[in-house]
Amino acid sequence: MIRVGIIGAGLMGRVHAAAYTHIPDSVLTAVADIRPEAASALAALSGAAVYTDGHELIRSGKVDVVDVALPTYLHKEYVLAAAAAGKHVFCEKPLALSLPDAREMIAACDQAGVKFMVGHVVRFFPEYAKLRQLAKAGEVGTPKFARTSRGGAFPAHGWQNWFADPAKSGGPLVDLVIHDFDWLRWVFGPVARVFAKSLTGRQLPNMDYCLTTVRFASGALAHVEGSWAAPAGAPFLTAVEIGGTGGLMEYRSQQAVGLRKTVKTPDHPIANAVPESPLQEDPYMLELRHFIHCVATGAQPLVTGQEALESLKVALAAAESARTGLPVEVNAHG
Amino acid sequence: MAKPVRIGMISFEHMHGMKYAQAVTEIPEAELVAVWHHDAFRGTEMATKFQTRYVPDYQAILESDVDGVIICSNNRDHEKYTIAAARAGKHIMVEKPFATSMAGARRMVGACREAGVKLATAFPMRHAAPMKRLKGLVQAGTIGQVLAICGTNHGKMPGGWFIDPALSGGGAVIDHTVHVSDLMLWITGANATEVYAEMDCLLHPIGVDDVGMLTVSFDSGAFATIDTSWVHPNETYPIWPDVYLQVIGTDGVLTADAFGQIFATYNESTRKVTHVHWGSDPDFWLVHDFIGAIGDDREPLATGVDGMRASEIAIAAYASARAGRPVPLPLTD
Repeated sequence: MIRVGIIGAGLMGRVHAAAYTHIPDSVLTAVADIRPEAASALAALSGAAVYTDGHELIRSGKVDVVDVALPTYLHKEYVLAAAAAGKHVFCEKPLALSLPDAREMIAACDQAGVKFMVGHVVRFFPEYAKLRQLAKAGEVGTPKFARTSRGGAFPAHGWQNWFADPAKSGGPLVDLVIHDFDWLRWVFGPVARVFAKSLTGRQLPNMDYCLTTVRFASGALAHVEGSWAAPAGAPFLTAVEIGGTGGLMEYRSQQAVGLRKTVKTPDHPIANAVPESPLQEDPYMLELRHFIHCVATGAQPLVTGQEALESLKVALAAAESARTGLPVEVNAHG
Repeated sequence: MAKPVRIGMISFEHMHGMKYAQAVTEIPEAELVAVWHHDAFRGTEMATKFQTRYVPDYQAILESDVDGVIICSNNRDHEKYTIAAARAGKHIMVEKPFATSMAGARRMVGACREAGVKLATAFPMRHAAPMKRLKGLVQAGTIGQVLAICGTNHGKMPGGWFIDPALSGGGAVIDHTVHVSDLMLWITGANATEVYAEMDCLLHPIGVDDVGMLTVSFDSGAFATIDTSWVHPNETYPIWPDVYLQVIGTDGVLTADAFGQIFATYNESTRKVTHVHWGSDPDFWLVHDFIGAIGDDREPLATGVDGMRASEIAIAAYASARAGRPVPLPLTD
């Protein structure tokens, strides 16, 4: 049985804690958060120990795996500490906010000989996995074209509203559409250059939006849209198109609804219809089950630190393009 | 009832010509008096279809008593026919893209100004009901200040002269940019200040760009992208085009899908799935506006200058792709 400790009891910590209860080879033994009530709420799921300091959790002797579900700017500190203590590390995406930080984290895990995986969970979403599988199998001939879209309302659930501070989250290019950059690399291979525009830095309260054109080393082109621009309460939507020499695939989450719920309540006689795409196996659970399997068997995780680093390079290049107004070669800075 | 507006068709090289000729025949205030096409067989066929007269020389239309002409030639020849029609004192509607060079566009606008004739650009998307409604909502301030727009005009690969740059001026970028760039300029009232583009021949063995992705900056501070790709598979995609805009404002988001009003048919004998557009027909209302501009002596909704400004963004896209960097607007030439 692999013992897991989660540091960070925010939204992702809660999702991960629930997922571990469905993974037979793992048990959640510890939860840390500077907000003891948040940590306790998660710990109650499995009778886990509660800490208000992540470093105490790492030192506790109660965990084999540390799951870092903290805001991005705090990843490095806890990944380095967990690796130094010989713990396997699962780290939420994006890996870090700079390439030197990312490299330091990867090196620390390599030196400690621990497993390291980054939460690019989109690779575990069945629609995205199937689209890639079909693209690779030639469903559209040679894939040459893609459009992805991701977003909705601003993620106002963040602790101290950290998503709104580009110095802490990187903005939507680094926090949100890095999912698509990672998945697109998985389908199309290395990225040559990017050109991006975003609203980051315009001082719009709880609002951002970004558009990126991606040129791959293969010559293929992709357009990536990311939105934190819809009003609060707007649904989170994703879409993908992959075109090639022999066809086109289109996916829109809006149309892929398995269940629609419209319920009368006394407060809201005109209820909002809530669309759901239910799955037997939640993608976050699939992702973490894969990682636990890698820890148990020594297999290499699907999203290594190096893979996450390559995706971070694309996101940081896009952010640089948005700042400078110029196209940016992804490997210009090494 | 006033005398009907007499219209002649100059060329059916662009397939929209058939839609426009059809619209002329459906408008009570208009009369389709003659058609010309460089190929007499096709020209005669069109004349029969629209129950009008074929003339073997376009000059004959210009020398006749028509009030206006609709030019649906290949892109290169827009200039030749526009200038000839202007000199003959005819009002003109030119198919998009208005022009393939800024110098040509200026000569066209100049000739019409000098002759005092009306010059319209065939921008049917201004007459697509969802786009008109979108503009109304934006101008009413419904979503506050416009910050960004994500636009697409996808389609099938048209082949023919469309993929001969000598006649078309390029590929998907010159073909499709202008529908969306015109909507963006029209809806926001802003001016474009810069264009960056990535484009390539990626999907079809045609030697011209069939994938195009433009990024446009505006003097309002807004930015936008336009995807012009001919990415709808010719045999299997259930509808030819899409024209889609998502507009991000300080107070909300609007999306408009010009071809969103569809139903699906599944036909066993043709083995085709078809998306049938049942929304208001933009082509009809485009021609209706041109006829009205002549009949009521007013400007058409989209003028030659509008055509030139929209074309400038496509022309700048080619310059950007060649240079590998953003190109500032206005283009000097």
